[in-house]
Formats: sequence, structure tokens, C-alpha cells
Amino acid sequence: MGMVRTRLALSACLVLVSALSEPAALRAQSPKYEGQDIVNIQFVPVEQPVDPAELFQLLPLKRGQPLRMTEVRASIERLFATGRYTDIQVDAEPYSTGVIVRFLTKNSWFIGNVHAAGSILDHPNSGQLETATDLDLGQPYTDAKLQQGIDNQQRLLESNGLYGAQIHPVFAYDSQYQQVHVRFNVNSGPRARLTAPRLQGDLKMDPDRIIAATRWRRWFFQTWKPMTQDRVRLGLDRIRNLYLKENRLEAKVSLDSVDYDRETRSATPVVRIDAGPHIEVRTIGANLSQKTLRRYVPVFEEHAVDHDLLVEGARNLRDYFQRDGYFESQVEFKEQRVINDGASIDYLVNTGPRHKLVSIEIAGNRFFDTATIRERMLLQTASLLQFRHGRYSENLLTQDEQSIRDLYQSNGFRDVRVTHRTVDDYRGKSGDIAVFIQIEEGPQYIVDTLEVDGIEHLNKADILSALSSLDGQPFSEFNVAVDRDTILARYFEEGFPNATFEWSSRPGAQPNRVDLHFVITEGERQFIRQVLVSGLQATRPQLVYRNLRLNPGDPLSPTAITQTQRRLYDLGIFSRVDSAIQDPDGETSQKFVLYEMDEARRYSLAVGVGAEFARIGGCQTCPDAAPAGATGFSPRVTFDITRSNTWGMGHSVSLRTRASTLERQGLVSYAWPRFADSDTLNVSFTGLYEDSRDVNTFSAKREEGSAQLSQRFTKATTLFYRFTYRRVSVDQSTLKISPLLIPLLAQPVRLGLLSLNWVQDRRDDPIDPHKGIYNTLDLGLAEHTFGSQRNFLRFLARNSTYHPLGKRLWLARSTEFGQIYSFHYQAPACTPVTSGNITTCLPVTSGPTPSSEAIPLPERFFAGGGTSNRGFPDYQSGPRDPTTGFPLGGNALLFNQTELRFPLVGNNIGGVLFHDFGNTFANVASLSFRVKQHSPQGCSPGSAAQSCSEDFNYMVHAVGFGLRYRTPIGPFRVDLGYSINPPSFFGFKGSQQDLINAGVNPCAHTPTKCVEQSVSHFQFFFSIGQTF
Amino acid sequence: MGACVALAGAEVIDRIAVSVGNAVITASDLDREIRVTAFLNGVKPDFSSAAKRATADRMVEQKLVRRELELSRFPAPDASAVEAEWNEFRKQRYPEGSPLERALAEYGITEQEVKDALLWQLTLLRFIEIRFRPGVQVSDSDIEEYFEKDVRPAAEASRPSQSTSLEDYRDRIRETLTGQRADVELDNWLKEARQRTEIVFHEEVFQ
Repeated sequence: MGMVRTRLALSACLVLVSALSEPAALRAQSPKYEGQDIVNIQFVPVEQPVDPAELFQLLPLKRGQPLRMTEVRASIERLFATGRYTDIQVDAEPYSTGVIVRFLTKNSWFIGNVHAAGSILDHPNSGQLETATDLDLGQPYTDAKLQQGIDNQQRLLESNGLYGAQIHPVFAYDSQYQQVHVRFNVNSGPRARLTAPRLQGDLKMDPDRIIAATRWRRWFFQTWKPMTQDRVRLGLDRIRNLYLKENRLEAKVSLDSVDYDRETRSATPVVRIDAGPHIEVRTIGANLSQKTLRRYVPVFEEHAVDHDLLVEGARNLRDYFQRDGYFESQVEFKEQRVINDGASIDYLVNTGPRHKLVSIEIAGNRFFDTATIRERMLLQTASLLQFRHGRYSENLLTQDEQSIRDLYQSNGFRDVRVTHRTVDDYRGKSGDIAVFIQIEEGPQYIVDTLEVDGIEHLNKADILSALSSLDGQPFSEFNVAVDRDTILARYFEEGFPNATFEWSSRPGAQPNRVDLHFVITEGERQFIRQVLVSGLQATRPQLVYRNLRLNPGDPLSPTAITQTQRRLYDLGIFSRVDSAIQDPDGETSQKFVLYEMDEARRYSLAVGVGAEFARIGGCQTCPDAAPAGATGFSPRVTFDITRSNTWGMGHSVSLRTRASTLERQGLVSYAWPRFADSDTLNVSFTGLYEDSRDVNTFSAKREEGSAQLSQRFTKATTLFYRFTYRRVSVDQSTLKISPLLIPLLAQPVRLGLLSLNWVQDRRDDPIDPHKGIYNTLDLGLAEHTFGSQRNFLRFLARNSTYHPLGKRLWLARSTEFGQIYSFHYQAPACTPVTSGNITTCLPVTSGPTPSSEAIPLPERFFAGGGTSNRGFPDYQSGPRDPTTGFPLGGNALLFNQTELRFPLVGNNIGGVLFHDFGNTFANVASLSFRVKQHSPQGCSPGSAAQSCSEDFNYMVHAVGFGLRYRTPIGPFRVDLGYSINPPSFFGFKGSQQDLINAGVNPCAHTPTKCVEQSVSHFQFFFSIGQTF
Repeated sequence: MGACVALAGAEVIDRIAVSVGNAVITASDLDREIRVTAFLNGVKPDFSSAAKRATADRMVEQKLVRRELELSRFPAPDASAVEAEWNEFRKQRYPEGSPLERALAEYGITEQEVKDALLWQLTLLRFIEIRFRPGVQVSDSDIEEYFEKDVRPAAEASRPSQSTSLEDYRDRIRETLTGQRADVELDNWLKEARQRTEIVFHEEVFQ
């Protein structure tokens, strides 16, 4: 037996026991009270950290029973194991005919809130300093841990050049819950400046070049930059890259130390460099650029040359060639010894002939259809766009075989065999390859009986209902593993952290049948004693407590703890929410759950600059009046400010402003999430001012106040109840339509609108959906009762669906239908119209006013463009002013869009082919599916507008294609549309100034400017996000 | 511990001597270990501070190993496994007619406590066998080196006239080297376990 074993065991082995000299009589272990009756058990202090009910249950010592020293010992062990004590002493005192046992205890402390504050320069910031302490919430607190934490902070500060930093911990003790909150008062002090590094080792390069590479000195002023950890690290990386460029692939660059000079407050990094030899990496047998070589051979990235990396490089190169159709390619490498500071690594490539994988045949599968198997395979046959030679290699084929095997085995086919055969020059065509996969399924093993023992505290039927390995189901070890996870997860959720699962099986009564036996050992259940919250400054505690999903006495569920943490994060007022169980290793059934929060900054600012560039309806920068739309450029500036956690209640107030040549917008909103303590209700109040020019017929002003209640019924379905009161008006100086229409369309109108919006979103990904459904329904009622000057009912519905067509092709379609129906409208008898300095009173057209004309311009449907019909510029569909040709909007719309989406290059670039049709109509009665536009009647330069009859009530069709580039915020979209039957119309053609000069009836005054024209066949659009 | 002062008329009967993570070694554990060790070694128990500290150190390592045994669900030997060892010990040290019971009483321990100590020895040996020995590699060159450096000189010194062959010693050398290296592995593991675990000695017990 060796040294350690001897030391651990007893001082000598039995075989070495020497003759024993009898010892003198020895004092026995506290026999004085052994066997005496315990009259009472007391604790000092009386207030104990363990719940009283649990305390006496824990103790093996019991009142009225004889005292046994083994039980005293066990009692100490048991109490200490709870983790609530740092010291325990047991006294005994004779009393009457027995003995009083007294436990004298000292409580332990646990880490609570850890905060770093004071005069802290960024790098490191207070959060990094807090993390550096390694003082984890809820863990036992010791002085050694504190000292370690301070040392870590000191190291972090020094690595950032803060050599004079001072750290003073201040403690706040919460004796009730045994928590110690630590606040580190940090004074960062001044930051050291870097100086010229001291270079040691075998440089093999001009030191000045190395120093310049670090960029630690400013290039213009030639002064040294302040020291930060990141700057030092980046400097070292740059030195490594410098050597890499020189092909010194084995160069070792490390920071030995940093010498700090207190006098000059300068830090001199001591950098050790071992340059190593020049190593040239070459390929022989195939041409490969250095860029490709550096991408696939990891010695460049790892700054090291070893056998494993070279092997990995060979494997990567082989895969690269195989992906390119050289399925039989072989790559080996040869290292040359270092001679005269130089060495080389040659990758010997034998590409073999180029192939194309043209066919994958699967046979023998009965249980799974071929499509199910194919979707798990990596092999791909050649296709025009993505894999021009297919995807094939021996390695991939082996992986596919294993995947198929796993699929079958997890479904009870334990004896499945999968083999393959590869045929070259398939069907006599040189280079074509076909892969034949043969599956021998074998018998399916079925669970004959499942016996589950050990479930005592939970509902057995509930647990069994969630299992895969039930009677009659396929038997596989995979399913058993799933069941194990299911059972243990259920137990963990219900407060059994130590639950265990074991299983066994034996052959069933019939062939291919298995009897399963699960044994669960539940272990001790743990409950929540209390939930403790710390770190709140401005937030009302009630807000946090209302969002807790944990109550004292509940089972200790990690899932519930995490859910609560997420709920607190979702309030949007905390930058950090930590959760922990106090002393998780303590053996007690009652646990404190801790939440420690850092409140986020209450004010957030966002400033943005952007622009729109497209065939937009019109703008101030557009040179032409262009009733058919023109290419426009609209710069935009945004400024947003938000104050979150208003009054400590989690509400927020925000101001959002936007200014561009198309619109000016200011929006103030007040958001009240989780209204009435309901997760599903949110309330918001909004005030809006908008001056919009995005429709080139007019500029609209909108002053609006609204209140909205949203209610989420299910994860996918939400209802919005909204009341809006607004005043809409058209800036008549911008109006480009016939003044005869002004009385009806352009008067300032106050609207009170009650609306209901239903949204159902079952898409797999709202930003870039591939399957699912998206429905919206918007109903709005403007009525005198709500203070509205116009009465109308507005209806807009949309249905979009997304369908996968195979693995790499998706069909997406969307249909939108809307109608505005006005009622109880009384047209005014006379309306003043201003043109230049002259104001005239124009009579309203005799006869009943069409209700459709009662809808003010800004309330009408203006559509067309990137999200409705790509045969139009934005907002250019539907009826037009018969005099000027500008769009008038409509009271009904119908659009349908269909897209075929597919990957184009790699995983990030995709393409779409689309077909859009639809239009905006004067009213629903005018809706027509006709594809040909009727020729205009009675329209000529100088003719009266009333005599001109034009047809816009037909379906405009457009086809086109688009590109999508995947970005983290959604796909960047470029669409080019071709309108098959764009509308022709009679209208003004000239500059904006020409139109102004032409006066109230431009075609009468400048007849040559009024001509027949049409919307362009070609349209293009840029934006972020899919079309629908 | 301010509160942990025996109240008037009361007597301290036990207390924590060392805490090892969530486990403890009590003063009575320490006392028993000293007595049982002394009994097995046939010496007088030493209750000096230094001896207590050395015993406590040993017990800390025992606690670490016991914790590992529990965590890894190591199969403990059956209690009956020590009967043979116990009988052997008894035969050697207390032949028929010798007062074993009196000796146990004089040491202040019980027969069961001695058996527990023996059982622990067995458990530990098995733990090393399973946990550390399989990972030990002893190459032929290691054996040759040990033979040339240690065995051959000693063998030739003791029997100068006889030739010494490696093959005669190969198995024994392999066993020795394996044991040594397993001990080193155990020692390293114990060092790491000590670093991982919060260990607090309560100095009052060692004075």
C-alpha cells in the first residue's frame, strides 16, 4: 500500500501490527450522559435559521428518549448539512432525572446583492467589476471569497492600466435571511499610458515595425494611448498578424508582464516573441488561391503548426474539392524540415475526375417513405442553382447511413441494416454518379408491458400519459432516454432535484416484444420558503411581487424560477435580473429563492438618419409633377426619447419624431403593460401629429389622440380595441387635383373612430416566414355619436399563407380586401375654394352626392407599391383625377400577391418570382376582374373634367423577380416588377411649377401639357423584410 | 463563537472540529479516530494538538473520498467483508484468553467502531483500484528503467554471485510502479478536491 493510501486509511496495516503493550486506562468518549433521558432540547439563540417545524424533524435526538452520543454526532452533521450554520456546539446539563441538551449555533451568511459603485472609469465598467468578484448570488459567503473577489477586481483594473485603483467593500447584513450585501466602493484613479513595449526573444524583424503594428501610439501626434485590456490584446493580435503575413506561422507572441512606473504613470508591456521559421503552405496537384488556402487550412488562424491542424486542413481541402464535384479527391500533406529559417508544407492533391451526383435511390424502406428519409440526408443531387455538381462525399454518405439507421432504431427497428452502392458513369454518362441505398428494416420491437415503480408524490397517470415507451409502442433506447428526460423534468419542476431514473428490460412473452421496467427514486422534495428581492431603487416592490410566479410553500421549480425571471425581464425596466436558490447544496427542504435586479437607465435616446429611394408617388425633390409617380429620393431624420419605468410602475412614456421630405411626424405615447395585473392586457394612449406627403395628390395633416387596449387570447391571436379621435385636413396649397373635387374631399374633418383589430399570427418566423398563416381583420366605425363629422364603416381584411414545396422552395400568397362604406352624409351647399389670391364659392354638383365622395382624402385607401401591387409606384393604384391625372384613392381595394421563394447563393441570398394583381376601386360596386382597361371617353386637352370618362376599375397584373439578402433584422429586399397592363390616363405633364402656374383648371389654361400618359411598366423597390 | 460557550452547569459534549463542504468532523469523531488508530497500532492514544491536527487532516481526506464515493454511487463493500480481517487481527493480537473486551473498554471504543475502520480501509482500496489504477500506464521502458536503477543494484548487492534477470522481476515491478502511480494520481486528486472544497478548522478543538 502506498503512501497516500496509508495516510488515508489507518496509520498502519493490520499485517504490520506489532505486539501490543496494554495501554493505561483511557478516558472514554463522554460516557457521562450516555443513556440518560433527554428532558429538553434547546437552541441558543432561540431564533434559528431553519424553519422550526423542519428543525426538530431533522434531529435524530428526540425529547424523552435516551441520549446517545452517536445521535448527538448525527444531529450536528444533519444541522450543518442544511448549510445554515458555520458552527455548532452541543452542551448537556443535568436536570432532574435526565439531561437538557442544548445546541449553541452560529449562523452562516450568503451572498446577496453585489454592487460596484464610485468613481469608475469605463473599461472596466461597474458590471465587469461586479462579474470579476465571482461572488455568486445565494452562495455561502466567506472572507476568503471576498478577498479573492477583491484580488480579481484589482487584477482587472490593473490590466486596464488602473494601477492606483482603490477598492473598499462595504457590507449590509440582513440577519433575517442571512444575506450579506456587498457594495464595492471603487476609485479607479488615473489610467496609465502605454509606452514602447520591451520586446524579448527571437524577433527576426525590425522592432520599430513591430511597435508600429501594435498601434499603441497615435500616428499623428505620436503620443502613447491610454492602456486598456482590449487595446493590449488587440496590439498583440496585430503583432501575430504581422508575423502571419510574413508566413511565420509558428510565431509565438505573449505578454510576459507590464511594468508600471508610478512616477511617469506609464505602463511598459513586456512582449515575448518567438518568430519561428518562414513556412510556406502550397498545394501540389491543384491550383488553389492563397485566400482559399488560408480559409481551409487552420494553421493560419490558430497561429500554430501541429499535426492535428495539418490533418484538419487536409480534411477541409478534401471536403472543398468534393463539394466542387471532385468526389474522389484525396489530399495528403508533407512537411519539410526547417532549413535556413525556412520550411514548407505541401498539400498533395489528387482531385481525380469531376463528377456529378445525378441520382439517389432508396430501396427496402417500408415503414418510412422515401421523402421522410431524404429530408434527413446530407447528400444532394445536382441542381442548377445551389449544388451544380450535387453534394457528395464518402464522409457525408457515412453520416447519411447513420442518420437512417438512427431513424429506424429510434422507432424500434433494432436490427436495421443500411448499406449503399455507388455507380459511376451512371447510364453511360461519364462523370455521373448514382447512389443506391439499401435498407433492411428487420423486425420492429414493441413494448409489451411497461412497469413504472417509485412514483409516490406525483400523479402517475399524468406522467405515464407523456411517455413514449407505452404498451404497444416501438421500443428503443432513444425512446427510453426521451422518457427519462420527460420524467425527470417533471420531477424537477415539482421540486424533486435529486430524483433519479433507472430502467431495465427483458424479452417479452412473444418474439420481438420487450417488457420494460422503470424505477424512479424521488428523493426529498424541496419547497419555497420565501422569495427575496433585492436591487430595487425606483421600482415599486409591488410591481415585482405582482409578477412573481412563485409563492412560499410551492414546490421549488427551476422552471417557475426561470419563468419569473423572464417575466421580470419582459417588464423592460431591468438591465439585469439574476435568480438563484440560496445555498442550493444545503440539505434542507425549505429554500429561499433570490432575485437580484439592476434597473435599466430610465431615459433612452435614439437618433437616426435614413433615406427612401424608389419610384415613390412624389416628393419635393421630384423634378416633375409626375401624376404617374417618379423616382424619388427622400432623406429622413428620426429622434426618439423614452422614459421607462414611469413612477416605478413599469409604464413608459415616449416621444418619437420623424422628419423627411415626405412627412413630419411627432408621436407621444404612454404605455401601460400588463394592465389590471393581466398578462394578456396592455393599454396605451397616443397623441400624434403628422404632416404627410407620401401620396403625391396632396399633403395631409393629421392631429390624433387614441386609446388602445390590446388583449392576447392565445399565443397567436390578439385583439386590439381602439378609440381614435382625429382631425384630418388637406393642405390645399399642395393639392394637385381638380378644385371641383375640393369641397368633397379636402375639407378639414374631425373623426371619432371606434375600431377593432384582430390579428392571428401562426407564422414560423414573422420576419422571414416559411410556413404558417397570418390573418388580420380591421373594423372601424366613425359615427356622430363618437364626435365624428363623417359617418362611415371601414373594413380591411388580409389573409396570408406560407407553404413549403419540398426542402428548398416555398410558396407564399396574400390576399387583401377592404371597403369603406359611408352613410348619413349631407353635402354642403357651397364651399369656398382658394386659388392664388382669389377665393370663390363653388356650388356642389346637383343631385345626390355619392356616399363614396364623403370620405375625406386621407381616410381613403391609397395602395399600390412594394407591399400591395408591384405594378404601381407607391400609393398610385386606383381612380385618378380626370383633370390632372393624380391619384384620388378609393373606397374599396382588392389585392392578391403570390411569391415563389427559393435559396439562390449559399444560405444568405435568396430569390423570389412573383405575380401581383389587384387595384383600388371607387367603391365595391366598381370592383372588376377585367384585365383590359377601357379607352377614355371625352378626354382631351382643354375639355371639362366632367366630360372625361376614364376606366380604372380593372385588375392590374404585374410579374417580376426579387433578391433577398438575409440580415439579422430581416431580409434586405430588392424587387423589380413588370406591369403587364398598367393604367393609361389623361393628365398634366410638366414640372411642379408648371402645375402651380396653370391655376385651378390646368388643362384649360395649358392644354398642351395635358396629355394621355400611363404608369410605367417597370417598377423597383428596396426595403427590409419580406413583402408579406 | 460568542454564543457557543458552555452555559453555567452545562458541559460541552460535542462540537464541530472541521467542516468539509457540507460535511463535518466532530470533536467526538476526532477522538474516536485517535483511539481506534491507537488501538490498531497498539500504542497509547495521543491527544496532543499536533496529533489531533494530523488526524484531522487525514479525516478531511477521508471525507473528500467519501463524498466522491457517494456522488459516483460507488458500490461499497458489504459489512461482512471485514469479518475475515477482524478475525485475523483478533487471532494475532488477542489470542484465546486475552481480554479483547477489556482492551476495547480501556481505549474507550467498541468492536463495531474498529470494524467500521477496517471496512473503510477495504472501501478505500477498492476505490483506488477502480478509480485510479485503470488509468495508470506502465510501459516496458518504465519497467526496464526501474529495474536498472533500483532492482538490479539492490539484487546484485545482496547476491553478487547470481545473475539478475529482468524477467524474474517484471511482474513485481509492474505492480509496484502501478501502485506508486495510482498513489500519485490519488494524491493529485485529493489536492484538487481540497482546493474545490471549503475546509474550515475550528481551532478551539485543537488547543
